[in-house]
Amino acid sequence: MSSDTVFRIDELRKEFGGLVAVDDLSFDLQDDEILGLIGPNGSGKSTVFNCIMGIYDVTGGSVQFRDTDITKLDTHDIVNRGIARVSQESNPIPSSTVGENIDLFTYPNDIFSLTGGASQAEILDIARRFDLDEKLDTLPGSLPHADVRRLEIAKALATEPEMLLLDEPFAGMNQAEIRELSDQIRDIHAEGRPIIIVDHNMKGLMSIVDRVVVINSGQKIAEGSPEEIANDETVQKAYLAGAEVTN
Amino acid sequence: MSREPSQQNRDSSSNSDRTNRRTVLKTVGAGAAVTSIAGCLGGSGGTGGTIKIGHIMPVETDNGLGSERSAQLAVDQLNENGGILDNDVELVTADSAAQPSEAHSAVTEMINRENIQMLVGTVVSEVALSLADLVAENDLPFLITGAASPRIFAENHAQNYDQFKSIFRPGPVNSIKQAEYLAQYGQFLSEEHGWDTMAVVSEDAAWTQDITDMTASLLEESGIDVAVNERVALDTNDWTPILDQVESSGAQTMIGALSHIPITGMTSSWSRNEYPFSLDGVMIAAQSPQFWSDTQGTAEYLSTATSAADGFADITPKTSEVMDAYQSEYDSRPTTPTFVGFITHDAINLYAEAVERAGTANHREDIDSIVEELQATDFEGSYGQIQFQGPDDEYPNDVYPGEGPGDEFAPFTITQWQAAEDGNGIGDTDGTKRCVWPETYQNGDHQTPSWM
Amino acid sequence: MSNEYDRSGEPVVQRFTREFLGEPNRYQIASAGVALLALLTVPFWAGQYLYVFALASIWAIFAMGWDIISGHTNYISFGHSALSGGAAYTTGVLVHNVNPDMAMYITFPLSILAAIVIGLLFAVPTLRLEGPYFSLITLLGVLVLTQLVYIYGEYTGGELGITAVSTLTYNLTNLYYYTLIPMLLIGAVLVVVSQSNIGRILRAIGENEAAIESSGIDTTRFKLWAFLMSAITMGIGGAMLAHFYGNITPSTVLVVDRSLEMVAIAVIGGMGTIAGPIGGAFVFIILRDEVLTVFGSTGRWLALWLIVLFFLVFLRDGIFPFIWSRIGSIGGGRDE
Repeated sequence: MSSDTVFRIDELRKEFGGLVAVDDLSFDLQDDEILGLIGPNGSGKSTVFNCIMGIYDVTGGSVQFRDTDITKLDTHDIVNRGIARVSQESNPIPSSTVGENIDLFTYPNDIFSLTGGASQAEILDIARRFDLDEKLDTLPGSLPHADVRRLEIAKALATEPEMLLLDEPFAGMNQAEIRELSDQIRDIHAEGRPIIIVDHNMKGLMSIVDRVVVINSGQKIAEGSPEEIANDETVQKAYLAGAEVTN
Repeated sequence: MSREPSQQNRDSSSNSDRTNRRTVLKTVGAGAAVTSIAGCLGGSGGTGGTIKIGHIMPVETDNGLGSERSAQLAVDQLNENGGILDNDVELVTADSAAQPSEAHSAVTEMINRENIQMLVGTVVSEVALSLADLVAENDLPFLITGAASPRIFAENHAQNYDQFKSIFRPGPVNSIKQAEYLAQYGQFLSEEHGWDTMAVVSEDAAWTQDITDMTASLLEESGIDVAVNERVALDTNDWTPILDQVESSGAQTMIGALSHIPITGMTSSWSRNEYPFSLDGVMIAAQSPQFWSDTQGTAEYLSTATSAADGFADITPKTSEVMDAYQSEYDSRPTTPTFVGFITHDAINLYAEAVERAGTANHREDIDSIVEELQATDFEGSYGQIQFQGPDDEYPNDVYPGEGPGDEFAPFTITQWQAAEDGNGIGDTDGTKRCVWPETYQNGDHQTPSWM
Repeated sequence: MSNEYDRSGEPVVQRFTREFLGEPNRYQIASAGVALLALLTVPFWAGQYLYVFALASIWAIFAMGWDIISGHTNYISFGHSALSGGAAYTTGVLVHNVNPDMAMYITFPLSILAAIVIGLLFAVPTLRLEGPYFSLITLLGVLVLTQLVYIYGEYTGGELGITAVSTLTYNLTNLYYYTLIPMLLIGAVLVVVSQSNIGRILRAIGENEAAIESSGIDTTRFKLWAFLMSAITMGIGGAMLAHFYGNITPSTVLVVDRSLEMVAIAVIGGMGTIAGPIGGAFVFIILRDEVLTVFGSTGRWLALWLIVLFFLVFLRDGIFPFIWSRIGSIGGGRDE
């Protein structure tokens, strides 16, 4: 079955003063794949996400989603077009419960709308997917780390995205939690959502992703299937040079 | 904070000096609630045998406190002599903080909670103006004892006498008259010292508009060159530019009309730098008996208009009576009634007499009789003889100014700060005030600053 | 599994109270009812205090106006009196310079418009900026506006102000209701907004703006909307204050001290709740104009600010959220 390119970045460039964080980077995303974006710490992965999501203004290049140029759009516009992103750092609303957090993320972007958003049943469903259904009245501050991360994904899903960006979703999780989360990510993907996952650790990604793009110092240094990348010498060198170890 | 009234402030630790016989506006309780509801229903104008007199002044300043104490003195004296219409008299006093809104709130509460029969006070014209509608609405006799703007009467009584007829001003003369008299004083100084160039500096407030407009041109008419005629902002605290400007104009005196602005700093600067001109005019802060010590003696040679010469000259036989009674009762600052104190004392007494003649103090039931008798006033006060202009005059109910500053009616007296003869200074200082003009009341010569 | 989240078939009234009033228990509802009843019947049990209660109602309007933006989004305005003062001065300047008999149905809307314009002048350039810029600019704004009033004293009456404004009424009972009813109406609207999705979004912006932006909400638009609601509220209150005293001075309606009082009232009452600041206003004004006057006109300010300081340190959430939650825990929590 043929797939289409649903998302693309072209010659994306981001400079901070004299520092080039993203260096004319290009890659695309097919509508049926999970893409892994890997690289050592400091290689610019999160910066790429920030550029895509409109948190940073890009210095050059473009971001295309479904043939629309979204490079200069505000974050909320990008989210409303269907791209949701889970950050590396968790960002819950501290004084709202799990249920209220998810609820907030379903609200329409309408200043005149006093009510709206998902029904309580729908929120329950979202929470259940991530085993948070019994913690709906808990405050994020009382949740264990893994639950906080799951809440982040639940919130992203609550915005009814067509595409997801996941930044280091497995960070701080043990093997069992990683396996469980991988299944949940596959389920989300199976519902028809392409996903880009950023990580610095290949092993966690190997089993999920269909394809890998490797970046270092803001540049693409390799691209291919997980097996190809695992054996790629340039990649290994980059990781060793950056004092990272792939197991 | 910008709430500070601009006159000299007292240290509020001298609260202990306040007599505890007065009622301050804080009564809570069922009794007072009943009184107020009865008042709201338009019932009795009295509270069973007591006549309450309301007093509104910026009581944290020397002038305001002097007025409050003088009011209390007058009330005590009335009670010693049987009260008013056989009723005891009680003073209810509140702080206007020289703010129209504070005064408005305080007087509203005085009317509604305390059921005052009469209101005396206000030294700031804008405060008096803002109270006009409120007191008129309540037919409350309001005797203004300090605020000088003629607008109070021109904008109200002259348009609708019947509505505002309960408002009177026993003193001082209004600011238009003050503007004229200042010009006459300027002429006097010119004759005394041969001065031919003068500066007029007024603060930017309602009461000085007439001075800016008239004093300068009247001086010019008498052959004096008015080289400077400026208005200064109320928050001025750097006086160097103005003093320099007056100096370079060659003026031999700066006629100041400064009531709100504290002038301690200006006076010190003027004296220490020996600016080559005299300092004369209407400068309310300088009227305080403690001004010499506040300026560490640099007040010497400053002359300012002061009703009743602040007790330092015998304007009427009553002047020294009030002065002595005040000084035997109070020895903390201010150590004299201050100019408003004399007028307030007079106001309360002339009110008492009017009400006795009318046979009623109940303004809610019979304001016409009270007003009629107030109109008929011919009272020997401590600052001068007091009569009121008639309903058809230019400023109805304003004090009758007489023929000139030195006649018996509402005299306009100027005192100058001078070195005292041994041991006769105010308090522990070696400074005192002498009345230098008009000649009718003069008890000292106007001195030119020694450095000129 | 929590069955609270399965609410199909819920009666409308119950849904309304749940959605907009934060699911109060019967004791909370009763307390709110008693408070409302007390306010509506003040002339009968506190007739002495009609004037100060009426003034408190106007300050409740100011406090709500501040709270809907600053209390919710945490964009702290230190210059909100520029909005209410601008409205009050519009009324005064029109009456003083154009026509002393100008009708209130003309001056009132124009005054509200002035508040909106001033508000947008603050908000549009600054609400996009992070950090303290919003707060600094509101502070500078009120300082600049105050100086303008002094400089153009010919039109504004300078420090001593304008006394030509007509007073609402001299009948204290009428005065009380003329201020209470608008306050309650504004309060009802703003409480509904605050408890609705809009209020939740605003409070979430106050806690974690970046997160809300990534939920698809245009945070700038919501902040501007809150500011607009705030400006309208401040405009109404400002015009009312002008007519309450019958005069306007910078000290009464404009100076930064008045802005700080609004902040203090919302803090004491409970930021981000709308109803808390209403209570805070009554507490504050009664302290300022009745209880603390024992210390003299100047001394009471010291006492007042010390009390505010106490709250900031020990009771930061405010009196009324504290009381509300205490009442809420009577009987062991929510009714089922």
